[in-house]
Amino acid sequence: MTGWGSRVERVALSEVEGESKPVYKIIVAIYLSRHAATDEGKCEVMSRKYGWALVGVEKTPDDPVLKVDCVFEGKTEFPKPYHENEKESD
Amino acid sequence: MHKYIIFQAEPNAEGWENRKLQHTQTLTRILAEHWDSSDKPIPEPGYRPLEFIRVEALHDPNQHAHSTHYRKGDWEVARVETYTPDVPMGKYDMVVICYCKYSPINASLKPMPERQISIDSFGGDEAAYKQWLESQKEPAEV
Repeated sequence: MTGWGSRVERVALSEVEGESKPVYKIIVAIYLSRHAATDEGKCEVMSRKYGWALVGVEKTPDDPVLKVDCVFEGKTEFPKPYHENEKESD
Repeated sequence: MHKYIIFQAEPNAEGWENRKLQHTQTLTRILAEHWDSSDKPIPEPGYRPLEFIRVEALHDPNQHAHSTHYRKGDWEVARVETYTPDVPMGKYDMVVICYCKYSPINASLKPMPERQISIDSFGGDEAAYKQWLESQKEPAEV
């Protein structure tokens, strides 16, 4: 899981000691992901279990079962079970 | 490493009169909390915690909890203090306090990501997860 997406852009050429050298800018994108849970305590459990950064917990308005959204920094996805990974490589 | 990170405004900072704990109505300087079990470094001066925004016209109770969007926040970390336990037997390996200054920016709104639901949403309770999945199926037309 990467918390930040980034790409490098070449933005200019700079003269350094008579030589043109490229100047790069690193563009950092912010990603978030959201996982539902039946109660707020499960958010920190997920964070610890998968090594994620929990940045917010919000109460859902109407859902009687999934009462909270856990908001994590980065594009977090639950690891696929071993057998699903095997199927993909067939 | 499990880190508890508190983003806090300085005394009398922007909006202090309206920054309250909802259940007691007492004033607070806390802007945000993170519970970070990743291997990322702690925030440094210049880091901006995200802000969560609710655009009422776009709020769908089936899709959204409270917020519809997020953006890079108007508060910027000015200094960081870290506290580590003498004996590493507690819940956190480090407590981090990030003191922030108000420095508004014109950041674009990004829509909240799609909600993901899995067995971890149910704390690993497979029966509860399956029961929920069943409840989401459309009834077959007879």
